[in-house]
Amino acid sequence: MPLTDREILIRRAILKVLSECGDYLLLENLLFDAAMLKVPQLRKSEFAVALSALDVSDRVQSVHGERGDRWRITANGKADLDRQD
Amino acid sequence: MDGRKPRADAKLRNLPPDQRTKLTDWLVDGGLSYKEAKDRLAAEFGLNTSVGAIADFYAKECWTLRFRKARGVADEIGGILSETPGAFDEATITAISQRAFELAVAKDGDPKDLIMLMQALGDTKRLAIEQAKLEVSREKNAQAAERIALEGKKVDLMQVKAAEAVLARSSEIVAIASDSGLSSQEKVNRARQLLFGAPVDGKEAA
Repeated sequence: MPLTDREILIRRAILKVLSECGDYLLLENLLFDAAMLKVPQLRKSEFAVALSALDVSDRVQSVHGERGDRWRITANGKADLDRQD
Repeated sequence: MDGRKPRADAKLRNLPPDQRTKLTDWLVDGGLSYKEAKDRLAAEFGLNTSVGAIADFYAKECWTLRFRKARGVADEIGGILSETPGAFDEATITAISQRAFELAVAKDGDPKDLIMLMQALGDTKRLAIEQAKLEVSREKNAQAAERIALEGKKVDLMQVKAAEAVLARSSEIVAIASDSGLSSQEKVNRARQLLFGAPVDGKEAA
């Protein structure tokens, strides 16, 4: 099933935020806060679905820590973002 | 007129550059809440706006800058730690830089935590400098001790040579010592010449 415009917007927002972090990992709650700035009325559930889809397709990767999951963009994610820009 | 409602953050986006920079600084560096920024805009620039407009402004104008600054801070901290050889391993440097990034990027992050981290790093750097100074001073002391030991050996050798020379020429030394026609200084000069040859500077002691 093709992605909706909103799903594309959310995935792009996540990749964009993580690309601004360079090699640093970003805590999931901070990632959500930053993505919210780019996607109006972003819900946690749709954010979680998008993040999971990006993880499965190797666009992002996570490291589990005491204070929650931290995320960074992968080379595939960067390539995707470059293609979209 | 097209009848469309102007964007909520239009007023802020059209601020004069200096005021716009100040607002960005308040939000990014100062960590002001939107409400605090709204109050300060009214107080300093006489500009009445809404919290929503400031949130929009932040979303469009500031967040990228905030992330870039956080990366800069974290990179700088990593750099400081790397400059102190042997003080931190690679994993520790990465972990501290990562923490610094998180502190710097969190909108509600307590700047005191970052300041404390920076102070700790400053202390580490100062400590490394003091250690380096101590090392240099230890090296200098060791060199001085070596020089003193060498001088001591030279004196020992000279004394042994003098004793050997006196023993080898003892009868002539006794003759000089008992010569009543010579002054004490003349006796010393003669004995010296007998034992060690002419003075290095060619002058006899007066």
